[in-house]
Amino acid sequence: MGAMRRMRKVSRQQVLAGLMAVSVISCLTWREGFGWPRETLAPLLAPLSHGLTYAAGGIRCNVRDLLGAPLDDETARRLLADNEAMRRELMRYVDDTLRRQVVFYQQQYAEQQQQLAEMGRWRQAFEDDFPCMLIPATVIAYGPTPYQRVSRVRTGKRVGKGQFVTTRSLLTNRPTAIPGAPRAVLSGAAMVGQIVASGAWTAQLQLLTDPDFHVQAFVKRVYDPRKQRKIVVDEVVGDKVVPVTRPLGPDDAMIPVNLTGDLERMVSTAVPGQQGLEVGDYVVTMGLDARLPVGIFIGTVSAVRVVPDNPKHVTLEVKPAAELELLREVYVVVPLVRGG
Amino acid sequence: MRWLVFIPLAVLALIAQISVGAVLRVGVGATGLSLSVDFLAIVAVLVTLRVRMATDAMLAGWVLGLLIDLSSVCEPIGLYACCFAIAAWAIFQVRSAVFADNPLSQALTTLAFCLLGHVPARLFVNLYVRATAVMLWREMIQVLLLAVCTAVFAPLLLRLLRRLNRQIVAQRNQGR
Repeated sequence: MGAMRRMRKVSRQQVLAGLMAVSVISCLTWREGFGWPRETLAPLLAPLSHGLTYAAGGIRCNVRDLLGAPLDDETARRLLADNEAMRRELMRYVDDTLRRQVVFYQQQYAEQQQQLAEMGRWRQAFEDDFPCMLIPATVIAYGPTPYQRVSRVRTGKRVGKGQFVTTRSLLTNRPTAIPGAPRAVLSGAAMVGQIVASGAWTAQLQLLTDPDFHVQAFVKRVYDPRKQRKIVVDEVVGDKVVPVTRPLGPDDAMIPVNLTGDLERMVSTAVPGQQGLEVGDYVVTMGLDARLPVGIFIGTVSAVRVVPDNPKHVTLEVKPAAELELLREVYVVVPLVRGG
Repeated sequence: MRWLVFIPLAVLALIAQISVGAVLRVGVGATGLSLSVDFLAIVAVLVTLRVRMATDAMLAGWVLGLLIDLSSVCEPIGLYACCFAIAAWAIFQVRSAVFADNPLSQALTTLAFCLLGHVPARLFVNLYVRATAVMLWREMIQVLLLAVCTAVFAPLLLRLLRRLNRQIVAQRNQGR
């Protein structure tokens, strides 16, 4: 009996030693782990975590509404008046922008027609602006530790690593796989993150604010004719390029930036300060990697800070447009044209 | 140690962690830090304070850590398993000096477990996996917040889970 007990004790210690050894080797060898164990566990947890996530999210949302300070009548009237003026200004801006876009697309369409006449084999690829497939998905759980900004989404479809996820839509169940290599993403209203791992029924959504999230974007400076802002641009005078200070115009180019998640927001360091970037400017996707079209809303500039040891550059802080904490319905967007 | 009771409890703790625990995180201003509770650490402390063998405590810690690893992304599998197992061993070594049913002892034990379990893991992620220490200090503060919050809630949850003590720990006449 005593011998058996000793054998059992030794055996359990050996199991533990083996597990620890495997864990250490796994940590040192595969820095980002491997997918199949996570893909296997996720669907098993999904039913319970899905329900609890919705219940807890609903409770939190209602509690926040109840605890918020009520508006007094005067403040409410003032906000309504301000909003009305802003709405009119925004509509005018949108109308102008759409008008310019229509002219641009008409020119583009004419050029494409000419190209298509010469190269008929590209006809199909150039007919639409950005043909893509939207995969509805629902947030069903979050990361287990507070160090990452990760949510698990249920997609009903296998999606590739590197796909972005967007907000606002429905949940469906489509149990077939998407063929092909990792693809890109597009949102209906705003970009919220990207898929970093996925299985047949679930996927891991890395939010914009995750420290490991990086994206190239454009800053679209808001043009307000009532409030001129000065920018410095390089102009050719004779055979020299000289910096010239002038007011921002409606047709000035967007500013490219590299954004990285910073837990609460996104940041872009070392942006040239002479571009006149201000709080409230829009940040949109760049579209260079052909995974997303240009101009998908990411967020707005929430702070512009001068770099202490490099005063000619600024650090941008960008607040995501979507409310990431209470995110529920999302879309995974997959372009249909091979290679973008 | 009754593993058939412990494993469902661990899975339930994980589900609570990734759903309720994550939704109820409270942000600390605009710092990106949050007040949150680690339910898995509380279960680990519950087991570590009750089991008779250090091996059982370490195995329980390893299982709970593995569940965290399997629910994370972009981090190595086995990291939290190792860290929680070692933290469980450390708590097991000092548990004879604490009163297992005393709320203050439970809180301090949980605080120590969280620090021992999370600090090495975050150091490894920042210095080896990401190979950059940009987020290191912020994550260390986050570990401290997590440990304090978990320690505050631990006595309450351990009291609620008190009835499970007998179910988790095998009686002496049932063998070790």
